[in-house]
Amino acid sequence: MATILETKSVTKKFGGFTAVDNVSLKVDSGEIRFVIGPNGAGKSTLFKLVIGFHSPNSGTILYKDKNIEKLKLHERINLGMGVKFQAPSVFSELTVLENLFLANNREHSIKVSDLLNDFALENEKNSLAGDLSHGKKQWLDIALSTISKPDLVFLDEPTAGLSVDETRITGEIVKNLNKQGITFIVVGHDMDFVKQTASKVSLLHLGKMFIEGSVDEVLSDKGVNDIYLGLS
Amino acid sequence: MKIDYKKNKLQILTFIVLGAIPLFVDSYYLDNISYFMCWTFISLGLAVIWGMGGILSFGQTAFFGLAGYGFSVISINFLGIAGVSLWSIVLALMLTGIFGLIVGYFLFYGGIYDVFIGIVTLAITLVLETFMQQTAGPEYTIGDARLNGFNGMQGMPTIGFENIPFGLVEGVTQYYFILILSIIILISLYKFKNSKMGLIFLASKEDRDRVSSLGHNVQKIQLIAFTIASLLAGISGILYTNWGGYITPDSMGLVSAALPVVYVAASGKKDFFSVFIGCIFFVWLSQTLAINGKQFAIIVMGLILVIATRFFPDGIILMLKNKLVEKIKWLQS
Amino acid sequence: MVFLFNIFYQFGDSLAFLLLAAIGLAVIFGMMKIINLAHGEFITVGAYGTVVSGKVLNLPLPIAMAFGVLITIIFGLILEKFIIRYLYGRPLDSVVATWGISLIVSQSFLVIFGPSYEGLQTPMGNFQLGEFSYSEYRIFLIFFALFILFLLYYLFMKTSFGTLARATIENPSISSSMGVDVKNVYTATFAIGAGLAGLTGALYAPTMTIVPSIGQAFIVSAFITVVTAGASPFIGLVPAAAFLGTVQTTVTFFFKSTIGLIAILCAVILIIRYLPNGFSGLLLKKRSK
Repeated sequence: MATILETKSVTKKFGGFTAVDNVSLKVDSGEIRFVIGPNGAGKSTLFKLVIGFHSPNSGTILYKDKNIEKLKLHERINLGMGVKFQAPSVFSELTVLENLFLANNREHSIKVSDLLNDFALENEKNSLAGDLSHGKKQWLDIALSTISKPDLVFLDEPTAGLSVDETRITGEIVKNLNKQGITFIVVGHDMDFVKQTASKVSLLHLGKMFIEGSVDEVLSDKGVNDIYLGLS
Repeated sequence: MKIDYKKNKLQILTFIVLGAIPLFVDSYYLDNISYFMCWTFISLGLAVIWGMGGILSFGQTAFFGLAGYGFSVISINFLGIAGVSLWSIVLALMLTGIFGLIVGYFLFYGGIYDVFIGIVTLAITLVLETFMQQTAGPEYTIGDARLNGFNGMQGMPTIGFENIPFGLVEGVTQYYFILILSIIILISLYKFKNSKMGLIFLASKEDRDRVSSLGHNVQKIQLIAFTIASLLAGISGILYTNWGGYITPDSMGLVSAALPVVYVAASGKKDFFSVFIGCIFFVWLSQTLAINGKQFAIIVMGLILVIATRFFPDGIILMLKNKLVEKIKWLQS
Repeated sequence: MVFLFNIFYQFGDSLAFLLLAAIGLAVIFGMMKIINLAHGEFITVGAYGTVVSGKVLNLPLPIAMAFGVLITIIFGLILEKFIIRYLYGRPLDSVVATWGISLIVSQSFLVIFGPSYEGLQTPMGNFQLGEFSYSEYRIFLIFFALFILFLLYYLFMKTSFGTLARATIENPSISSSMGVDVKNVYTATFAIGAGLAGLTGALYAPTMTIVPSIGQAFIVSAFITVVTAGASPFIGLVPAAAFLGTVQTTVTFFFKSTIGLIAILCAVILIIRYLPNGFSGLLLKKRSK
């Protein structure tokens, strides 16, 4: 399995505060890797470092074995990445179709009609994205990150604010897209979603990599339990 | 993208009417309408960057003045040489465009956004105005052209194209010259708005980072739009200078910088046609009011601006246009 | 020695002007993030209020000044109630609307009072040093400007009202859920900003020719200074005014005053580009290291 993304000892400080502390993460092609951890663990910051929102203070970031640190955000995306930020960031003043058109950047993209069906947006394709329900906005946002059929997609809290059913459907969509060849790195909080979807889990705590492994390995670790209960 | 003729009946009708006007009015009124139309280009430029992209720049008047002065200096210096008008226009626009690129690069690649774009561009405009105001001395001469400080430049040659019948751009030919130019530019702007680049620019108003995260080079597109706006402002500057035969530093002052903002805000910054018609109307209005005193005209302009912003943020003219199309079904398709 | 004092006087005069021009705007733009292009008009109202009441009602100067400030506060309150409060959170629209207000006010003053109005005498006296004569009043203004700034710093940083105001402006929804009447806090803060601008107009009224565009002379300098001061205006204003005052005095000394203005305009362009958080950002960063 080829490594698609690797961070080597990446650190990020904001003033006196170390958000990401010497994190080495290695994700292989075809995975659905979940990065979990309590609030403030540094997950979103790590995420932003990899896509190019922030620059690391030290460490290297490799995408398909290439160092991408000098590339700007849009340049990294054009190498074959997709991104979905934490808050649903769709363009409320454009229609659903216009949103997808905007995101459709490469030749071998997913057919719009398939996407509309998978994400149950067929009826709203000419509505303004701002008029969608929260759940559908999240789905549109995920669709935007995947329509160009990138090789690697980052999802930051894709199920935030979704109902149990919507979360389950989201998991199915992610697994489906994964079968079509998209590797996923997901920041998530919802343990049911993790159990349903993840192939492998990395847990961050206080900015450091705490443990990595399969879903069962990580969730049954006593140390992990303590972290979530706030005992360490 | 093809233009949908059925949906644009109002626009087409308007231009037919405008095209027929010279048959019905005398040259005095025609010249006035030509004057009003001179201002549409700078306003359309502002509509592109502000209405589409959410970038409020006060630099349009700087480009207006730069092009006007550039055109004057070049045409005075090249007087008598064949093709002087064409060269003056082309070179003046090139100068303006290059300046637009530099300022735009400084802004967008320098990470300057929102309110600070307004402050920086206003500062640049004022620097230009202040500088030009103190060029009264004879040492401020470029070739044969003296810059003349407060009083500005005069006596530059009218735009003329030799070997073309009715080639001198004044009177009726000036009117049609400006009108045809307006049509070409409006069509081009609509095409831009409906293109992918236009969509990217529109989206960047709402969420720049999301647009970047979809793989688009937002800064480059903002730079392109800003430069287009500067060129449009330059066209207004050149046409204005040609119309009146003068250009002064006042054209880059605080009040002058406010005018395109008034026209665009009150007309409806998101719709090019509304801006075109609205601009003609508001320039006419301020001229008419100025008969009762320049201060009075400015007070009314200020009132319009405040009322439009407070009560009609989508624009008064656009609102009226939408109501008209709503009421007259024939106009809809 | 005489030459040094001259330089010091020029610099101090410039510093006082920049500080006093900026102070009302520092509250409204610096704290409330409202781009108030009518700031110059507040200063004009304060100036005219002072001069008119001084001449027409024959009030002694300090009372006339207080009157000028009061008029400006009332003017500010009216503006806030009918226009400004609808524009919180719409920064570009507040630029546009306040610009409209400034056009209306400045031209109305022209219509009502004519192109110039008979002014008041500069108070205090002059004194000689070498071949130059200096105004005691303008030296007084230097110290008064610093005093006002200190008072403001105290008000907004050390009193409970000040803390309340800063907290509300930063996070109105939390404040309101804690029982604070957010609207009133905004209104009060805006009124303070307006009053300060009125005070500037009142203070400078006896030293300048009273024309309707008197405020215009201040507004460009005001914005330049506030932007250079940065995110925390009360920390950044003095270093900003000092820096800009130095630039302006030096350039004017070698060239002329119009070039001095161009120089500080260029300075603010560079500051926005290279020091986006202004001088206060620079100072706060140094402190946290």
